[in-house]
Amino acid sequence: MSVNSENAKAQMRKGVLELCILSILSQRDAYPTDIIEKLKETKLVVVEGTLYPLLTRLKNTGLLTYRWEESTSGPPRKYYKLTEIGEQYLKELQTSWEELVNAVNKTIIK
Amino acid sequence: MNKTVTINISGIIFHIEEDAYDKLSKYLSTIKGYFTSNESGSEIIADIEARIAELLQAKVNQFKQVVLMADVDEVINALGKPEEFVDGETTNTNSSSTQSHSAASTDPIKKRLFRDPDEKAIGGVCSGVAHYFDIDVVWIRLATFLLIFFGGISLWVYIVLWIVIPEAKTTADRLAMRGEPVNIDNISRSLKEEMEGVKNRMNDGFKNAGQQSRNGIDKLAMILGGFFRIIGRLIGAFLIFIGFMIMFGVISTVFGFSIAGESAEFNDWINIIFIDRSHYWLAFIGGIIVFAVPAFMILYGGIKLLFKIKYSNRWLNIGAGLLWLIGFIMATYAGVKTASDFSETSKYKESRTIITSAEVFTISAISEEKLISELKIEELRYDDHSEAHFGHDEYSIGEINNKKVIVGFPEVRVINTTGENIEVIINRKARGKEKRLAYDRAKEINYNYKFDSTGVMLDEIFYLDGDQKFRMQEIEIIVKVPKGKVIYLDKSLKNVIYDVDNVTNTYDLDMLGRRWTMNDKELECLDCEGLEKADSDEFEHSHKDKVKINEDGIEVNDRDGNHITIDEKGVNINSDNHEIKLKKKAKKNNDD
Repeated sequence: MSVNSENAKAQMRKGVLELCILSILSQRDAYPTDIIEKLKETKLVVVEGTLYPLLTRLKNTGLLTYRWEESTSGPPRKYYKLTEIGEQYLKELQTSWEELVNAVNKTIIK
Repeated sequence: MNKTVTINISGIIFHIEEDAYDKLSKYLSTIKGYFTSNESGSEIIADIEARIAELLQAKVNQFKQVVLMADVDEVINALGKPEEFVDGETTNTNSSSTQSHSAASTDPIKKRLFRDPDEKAIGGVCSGVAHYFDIDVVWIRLATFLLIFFGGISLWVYIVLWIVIPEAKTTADRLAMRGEPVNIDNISRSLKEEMEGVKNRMNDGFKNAGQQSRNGIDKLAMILGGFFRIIGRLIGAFLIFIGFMIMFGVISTVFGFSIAGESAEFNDWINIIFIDRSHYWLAFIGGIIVFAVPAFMILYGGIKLLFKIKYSNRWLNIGAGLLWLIGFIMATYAGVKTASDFSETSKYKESRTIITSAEVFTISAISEEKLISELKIEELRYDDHSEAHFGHDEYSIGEINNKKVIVGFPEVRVINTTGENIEVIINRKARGKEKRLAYDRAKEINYNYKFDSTGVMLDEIFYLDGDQKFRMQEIEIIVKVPKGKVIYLDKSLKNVIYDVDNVTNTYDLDMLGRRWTMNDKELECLDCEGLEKADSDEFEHSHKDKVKINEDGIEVNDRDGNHITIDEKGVNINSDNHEIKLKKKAKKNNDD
């Protein structure tokens, strides 16, 4: 039986999730479902549940803010938007991401 | 046909089939369990419920009005299993692998006792305990340090805890270590949650095994389980208390012994009783083990029960049992070995006949004070006993020429003999493993006496010198007096005279300072005027000056032989030179 790498992959995905969410929101404001859609497209998120705690945390930290929007197909929904602090934070994350990618590439490519 | 339940999620009403409802509700409560420790827990749960409502709304319509099991499954699939989406949130850095730890993660995060490997000073015990009780580790460390001085309790407890409490290895462990604060509300809530969790786990287990789900008996078992857990905690606390007490006792004794061990006197006694030092240590250490090991195990069990630690190490248990057995054997061996050296008694007799024509033969003792200076005994270690009558079984330790000696008192008895002359017999007695050994020991007792034609002077004490061990050595001196011979018992015999038979049954001490003559069986007093005749049952001290007042009258005697009697016969006053008698009124009066 070969060793399962799912765990490691999940770990890697979790690491970059914040960066991705903030990036998506930097392009446009969105409902959680929209964010999920995008993430699912790129296979970054497998289950929706991961998102809600994360969004709430980012909101609590002050990186995001939201407003309520009524919906015809259900209960009211939160409409998320990046804050100024969030924008700055995102820039920093992007920089460190690029550094990280370079470093990792250097390490794994002989 | 199926039963339907009506629920509302996020303010939207749904009709849902009963078994679908069970599944959904279990799902939601598991999620709730995950987020109770999170500050924004309720917000997150609200968001999730809103999403569920959204998804379900898409699944019902005019033609399909009820949410079915399949729908719930899809929703759960979309949203994900709770363990899958919780971990990124509660830690900042790493997250523990969820797939492999499914058993641990279906439990809600509640506080468990771990040793902290990141903040440890020695073993992480104090920091772990501090986390558990939400107290700053400084206080715990301080308390531990102070308790060292109370019989070293904290040392023992620390060692037990170090063995028993596991170290927090994974992140999940570290979380659990810091978990919720422990207070009454949370305990009862976590108990309920635990039962819920057990119920859910059992459900899963049943489903996996393909069995039917719970019935009434299972529910009862779970309630009882919770109940017993509480009892278990109480018993745990009680056991800890008992363990502490015994430990405290043991440690104080050790402490006390080690202090006593410093005192020279204690050491001396140890040396002379035990065959050698090794026997003493065997007995001492063995004794400690016999008491300390059970106390330790009780403490250990108590802590495990109280903190619900499931640590169980069979090697520890076996080891403790073996250690105790060894201790027991040690103590028993040393005790038996030593005691066996006391089992046989033997006597060494020395006898001497003294031919004397003196009118009065004096028996006296050379006082200990005199002997001390003669033998150059440095000090005798017992209190000043000049007033007291020292028992014949008293032993003390003295020093001659810087060597320790054991000192004892002989017993002196006077009996009659059919022979013509006075005989002095010295019986030395001692104990030993065998009669031969005891005999040799007896012979070695140092004792001296002197005599001449006027009397015999007995040493007041005997001693065992050098390396002789204490083995209940005794000296019995028997002075045999022929009939008709008069002896004088000197007052110096006060510490050695012992139960001498006499006609008037006078108490030993009262016999001193008087002359006695031997008749057929026993001594008869010659100087006992005014001495009250004592019954063998009575232990009255006779006094030389006496006043007796009772229903018969008054009698007064003094040491010079003067006496006054007033009774029904009349008044009688007698002195050396005078006599007054007043008889009954009816009769004639006499004047002097």
